[in-house]
Order: sequence, then C-alpha cells, then structure tokens
Amino acid sequence: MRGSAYIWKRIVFAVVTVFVALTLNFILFRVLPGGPVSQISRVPNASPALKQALTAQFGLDKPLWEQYLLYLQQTFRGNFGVSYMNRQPVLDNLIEAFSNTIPMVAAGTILALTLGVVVGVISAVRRGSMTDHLSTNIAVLFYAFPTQFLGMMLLIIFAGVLPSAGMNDPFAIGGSGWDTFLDALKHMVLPVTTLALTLYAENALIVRSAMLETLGEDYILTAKAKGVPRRRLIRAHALRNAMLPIVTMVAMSLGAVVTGSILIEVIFSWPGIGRALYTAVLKRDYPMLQGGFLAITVVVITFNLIADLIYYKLDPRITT
Amino acid sequence: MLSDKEFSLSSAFAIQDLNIWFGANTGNVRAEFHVVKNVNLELAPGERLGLVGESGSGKTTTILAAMGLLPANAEVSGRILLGGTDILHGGEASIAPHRWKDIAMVFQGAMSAFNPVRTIGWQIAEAMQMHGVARGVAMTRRIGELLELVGIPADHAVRFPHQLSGGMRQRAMIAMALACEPRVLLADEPTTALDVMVQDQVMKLLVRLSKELNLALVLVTHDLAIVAQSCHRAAVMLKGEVVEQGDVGDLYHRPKHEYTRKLFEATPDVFTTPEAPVRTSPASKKTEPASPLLDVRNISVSYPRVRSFRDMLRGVEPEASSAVENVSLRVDPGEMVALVGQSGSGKTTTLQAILGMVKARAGSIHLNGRDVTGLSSGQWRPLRRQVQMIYQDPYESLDLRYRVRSTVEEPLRVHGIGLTAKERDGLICAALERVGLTPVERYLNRFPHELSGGQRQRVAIASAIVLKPELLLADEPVSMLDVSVRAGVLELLDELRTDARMGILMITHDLSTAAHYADRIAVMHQGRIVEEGAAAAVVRSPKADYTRALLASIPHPDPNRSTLADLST
Repeated sequence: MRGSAYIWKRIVFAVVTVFVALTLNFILFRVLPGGPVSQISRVPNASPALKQALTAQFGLDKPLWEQYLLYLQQTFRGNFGVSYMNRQPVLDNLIEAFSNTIPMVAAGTILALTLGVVVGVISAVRRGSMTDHLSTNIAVLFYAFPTQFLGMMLLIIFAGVLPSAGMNDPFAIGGSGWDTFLDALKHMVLPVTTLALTLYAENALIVRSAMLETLGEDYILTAKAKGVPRRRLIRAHALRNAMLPIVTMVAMSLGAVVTGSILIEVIFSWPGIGRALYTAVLKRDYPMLQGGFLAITVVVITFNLIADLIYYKLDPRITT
Repeated sequence: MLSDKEFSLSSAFAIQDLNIWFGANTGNVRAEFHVVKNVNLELAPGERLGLVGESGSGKTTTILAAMGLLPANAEVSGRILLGGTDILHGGEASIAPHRWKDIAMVFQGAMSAFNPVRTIGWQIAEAMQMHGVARGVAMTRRIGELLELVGIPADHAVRFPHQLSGGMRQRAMIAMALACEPRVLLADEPTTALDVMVQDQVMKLLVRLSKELNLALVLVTHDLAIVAQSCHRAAVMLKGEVVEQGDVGDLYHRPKHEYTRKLFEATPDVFTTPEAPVRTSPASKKTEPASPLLDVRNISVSYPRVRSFRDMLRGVEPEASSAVENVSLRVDPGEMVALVGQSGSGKTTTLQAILGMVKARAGSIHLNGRDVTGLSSGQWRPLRRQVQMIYQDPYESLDLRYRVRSTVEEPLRVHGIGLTAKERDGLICAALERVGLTPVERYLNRFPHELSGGQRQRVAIASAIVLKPELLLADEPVSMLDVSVRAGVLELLDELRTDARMGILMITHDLSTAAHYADRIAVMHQGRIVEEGAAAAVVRSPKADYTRALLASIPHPDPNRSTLADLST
C-alpha cells in the first residue's frame, strides 16, 4: 500500500466514524425518557394543545427518517439548536466553552507530556537506580490520585495564594492588557497543575516501559558499537522508536482529557466545556448535551486521526 | 583450499588471558559467574579465525568484551591487543576511539540489528560521522561505494531496513561495519537466520572482503561446516574455555579434544549420506499399505491481499497471491517424510493446510482415508487426536507458567482421556519416559525455565505423543537447538516412527538432516514441490536444478572439500 492510500484510508475511516457518531447521537436522544416537549411544557396548566404546538414547532411530528435528514442538514449548517437554559444558539455556547477549555487543557497536556517524557526517559535510562524507584513510585502515587481529590487538596493549600475560581478577576477589569494577561495566567495555575499532575504520571509510566523495551533492542547495541554517544543514542535511536507506542496511547488519552476536565472545571469553576456539560446534565438541556457530545466525539476522532498521521510520519513500515 | 599462509608477522588482533565474570546481586549475597576463562586468541592481518561453540559457551561474550560492549555487571580482566597496544586497560576511554574505527562488528540478527525507523544510508552515515571519517558529498559517495562493495545497488541507501531481504540486510550490515575501514572484523553468527543459499553468498562475501581488505576476521558460529569452509583456524569453546585451537584441517582430521570430535560427529553431513537413512532399529518391512496415513492431493492455498482503498471504491476483489500451488504429499504409517525448502517456499503453509488452519483453494486432504478438506474447527476437534504438532521453538511453544505435568496433561483433559488423576498420571509418566526424560519424578514438577532447550523440546514431544497420534507434524523441530542435542531429538523422532509406527512429516530447511533421518524427501520451491523421492536418491542424484543449487550451497565440514572452491585463488 502506498503512503497516500494509507492517509486516504485513515481520513475516510474518520469521516465514517463521525457519521456513525452523528447517527447514534440522533437515536440516543430519541430513546431517552423526558423529551424536549414534556420538558418545556412543564408549566402549570399546560394544555394538550400547547404540547401539540410545541411538537409541531420542533418538527417532532414528522416521520423519523425526515427528522434524521433534517438533523443532518441542520448539523452541517452549524445549527445545533437553541439551549433551553440561556436561549442562545448551542453553537455559540459550545464555541465559548471550548475557547475557554482549550488553553487550559492544552497547557496542562503539554506540561504533562513534557514532564512525562522527561521523567519516563530518565527512569528508563537509570533503570533500577534510586532515581528510577523514586520517580516511578511518585508517578504511581499521582496516577492513583482521583482528580477531584488532588484538585480539592491543591485548592485547600493554595487558595489564599492563588485565585481559586474562575478565569479572571471580575474586579480587575480596566487594567492594562499585560495585567489582564497576568491575571488570567494566575487563574490557570491551579487547574493546569491538577490536570498536568494527573496526566503526567500515566505518560511517565508509558514512556518508561516503551523506552525500556527499545533500549533492549539489538539496534541499540549496534549503535553503541558504532560509537554513538549516550545522549544521541537515547534521542535518535531509543526515543525515536519508543515514540510509536507513545503517540498512540497519548492520542487515545487526549480525547479523554476534554471530558476528564469536567471534574477540574467544576472544582475550579472554570467556564469550559466540562462545566457546561455538567450544568446541561443537571438542567436536562438536551440540545446543549447533544451538541456537546457531538463536539467531543469529533475532537476524539480528530485526535486519533492526527495520531495516525503522526504515526505515518514516524514509522516507515506502516505503508507496507 | 585455504593455504595463503603469507601473513605478515605482526598480529592484528589478540586476546590475552581474558576472564569475564558476571555478577548478580540476589539479596545480600553477591553471586559471580565465571563465564569466560583464560581465553587466548591471536590473528594476523587477513587471517580468519572461527570461534565455535554452543549457546552459553561464552563465545559472544568474548567478542563483546573486545568491543567493550558488555553490560555493567560484567567484570573483565586480561588484555585486548590491537596492533600491539592494549585497549582494555583504560576501560571505556581506551576502547572508545578504536570501536568501529579499528575493530567493527557484524551482529547476529540482521533483522533487528538495524534501527527500523532510519534508512540504511542514514545508519551507515552515522558510523562515519561519529568518527569524523567523512562528511558531506564525500560521505554520500562513500556510502554508495560501500553498498556496491557488498553487492547492493548504491541507490538502496535511501531504503529502510524492512524494504530489504534478509540477505541484503546482512550485506548492508557488513557495509556499515566497513564504513570506517577497520582492521579487525568480529562477526557474531552472521548467517544464522539466513537460508542456506543466502548464507553461502554472505560467507563468500565475508571471505572475499577479508582477502581484499586484509581484514582479520573472527567468525563466531555454532556451525563447524561454515568455519571449515571459510576460516584458516578455529578455536572451540566449551563452558567459557577454549578447549582446542588450531588449523581447521587438523581439527577435522585429527581432533584432540573429545568435544571437538563430538561436535563434528553431530554435524550432519549430506555428502556422506548412506544409501538408507540411519536406523536405530531394523528398517520396517515395506509392505505397501492399503491406504496412506496422510494423502494430500493437488492442494493450492492462496492468501488474499489486503484490499486497497481504490479496490474498495471500484468494488474489485484483490488478486490473491498464491502460497502453495498444486502440492501432493503422501505419508504412510511408520514413515518419515521431510519437506525441505527455503523460508517462504510454502512449507509451513502446507502444514497449516493439512491441519485445517488455512483453507485450501483446491485439492483434497485425506487423513486415514477420511476426507478432511474444509472441515470446520468443530468437526476437526475429535480428529486432532490423530494428528499432533511439534513446533520449532521450544522456548515459545511451552507455557511458561505450566509445570511439565500440566503441559503433558492438558491434551488428555481436552480430549477427555483418563478418567481419574491416577490414570492420567500413568499416561503422562509413560509419555515422559518415552521421550527419555527419566527418572520422570525429577521432571514432573519443573517449569520450562528449569529445563534445557533439548529437554524442553522433549516435553513438547511428550505432550504431542501422550495422545498416541498416528501422524506427527514437526515444524523445524531441531533448528533452535544446539548442535549436540539435535541428534538426540531426531533419533527420538526416528524411534517413534519405527516403534510406534507413527507417520512423521517433518519440515526442515536443512537438507543434511533430512537426508539422514527421512525415508523420503520432498523439495519445495516457490510454493511447488520441485522434486520428490527416496532420501538418498534426492541428495545423491538430484534431478531438479533447484535441488542441485541447494546442495551446492551446503558448506562441507571437511575443509579440504571446499564448496567455496572458487575463492581459494
């Protein structure tokens, strides 16, 4: 199989997956109890006529396949409906929520990745040493911490020193651009730290075992025999090969990061996608939930597609 | 003949009084294993020395010490002399400048000795960059020259290791070893994983290079015949010691040490094949049985290619590549048939088709007169008792968490044989006794890691014969074993053939083994059987060109009967 064929195959696969997710999303919310009509018409003295009018307004009286086509059509136009809660288009809500979540999650993930790779490589290279034991055990400890527990602990300890809630100080409006930026940065410290600590441990353990495996390969001995110095040996030979399993596993966990941020966002009152979904569940805001789930699905699929493409760049064997 | 005795007097490379200990910390007790004991070797420029021994004899450890590549828990004493200077005394600092520049190495597994994600050219370039030998355009040109020197087109430098065949990869490895123009080349089992014809080519290449470049070559191998054909002298290692060292001719004709003699005897020699195969008991009377045990007629097997995206869009079924084409085989009770061929010739696929693991596209397979072609796995289950399989690698075919008893007992449980534990115990003990693991009590409760390779293979055989099958399928049953235990396992199979009248179909790449033990040989090439006949007839008067080529590439253990004759000039 040629390279372009591989890429095409992955892209088609991703698109098909998105379609399946769209369809499931459509079915799921029609199977669930508590439809939108009963939700909105839950006012005192709601007449059957009102219900009927609502049903017609939402197009729920049409046959299912027509609803499905309508749903697809509207989805592609970016119309995810209107949130029951704030009467804003779901799309606008989602864009706002994601634009709040992404900086925090990106910072946390990058930090976790860097820390995980560095710690994992060091413990693999110094296998069996004090450093290795210490870092592996610390990683296992953080891996075992539930996010909410770690978040709470950080909140309790640092609440006085660092801002504990929200994205910015509502009373600091009017300061210079630099002050606003610093303020936002301060607000990010705790949630980002929580995310990074819970994620880095998993990464470190994955990197360590992948590195240990590649360090035992014959080509490492060959490279040593050629006179390749230690640093280059680790970077150009061992890590380059260890990256293959790491990319797959990190990409798989990245999807979970977005949803995993629910806990962090709730704890630190971060107005992101996680908290938006959390409130939507509590308020039974179906359009918002539906849109949110779809968005998350697309994010997960996109990350996996990116992983496949990176894999293609990293592993020459993939096209055969 | 290798009689070019015009070595310059100064030695190129010498190992003096080399001792190596491996330390292991088990709790508070530090255990030390003395793995290499007082080894002395010396090579003149252009001289080739074979370092022969079985696994665990310390031969690889010896040459790794010369490269300074032993793990940190190894302790080394002695001297490694490179043109008269000791490079061992200063540790890493004194070895590093010479490594690969003066003394280079060709590693065993050409498959895994290259980094899979870098091109061949990149990896050869790295060797030169590390030692500042060449750079820029000159380096690119040199890579091309090196590849051409070993018979690879220069433009293959941009290829990745997986895009080269096994033989090509080993050639590329040799090219990389020569990148910095070393004076000494250490080759660790350079041809072990290769087919006999490719092995022949690679060995010829090594000998030619050693002559042209005046390279001192240490060839580490377990195969005496290769050494006999390509080296001037040989050193035989046993349990960390060199027990005998000398001219290859002397070793073959006048071995002084018992072990050397044993090694030569255990090396099967296709050229001295007797008329009839070696028999431990008188040959069975040939009464043509009414029906053969296994009757394979004209089977063809093909593997579907992966459907490409374009095929999917067009709705085209991909072309099937044919693995086995029109193969017919027959095994009678009490007969051993050898299926010989290179890797990729379709031997294993044929075996899998017989077992019903892959579907035959055409043809029929009869077992004891019953048509088993295309049976479902459920229909196969009761028949499995009649056909048992012995695998190549006893290190992988045994479950590491099963004791010997459980391994042998499992097939009994699966087939519901032996109602009581006592009854099963009786069968297990009988099977273990049959394969020569006596006294049985000593082995019953052992785990695989407590057994040697030969013993493991015997356990695997025991678990196959405990069901008293009529047909045994053996897939390269001895290729992973040391030379000296191979004969024992093969003789065991031979006894099962004569005593229990089992029919045995043995896959092997080794024509010599086949010639010695099988009644009939079928030679397979590119999915077809190119020649079939009585064992002695096939090796003495081969009809097919391919069989002749195969025979010509087998190294002869007698150095005087050179199969590399064209090189002695």
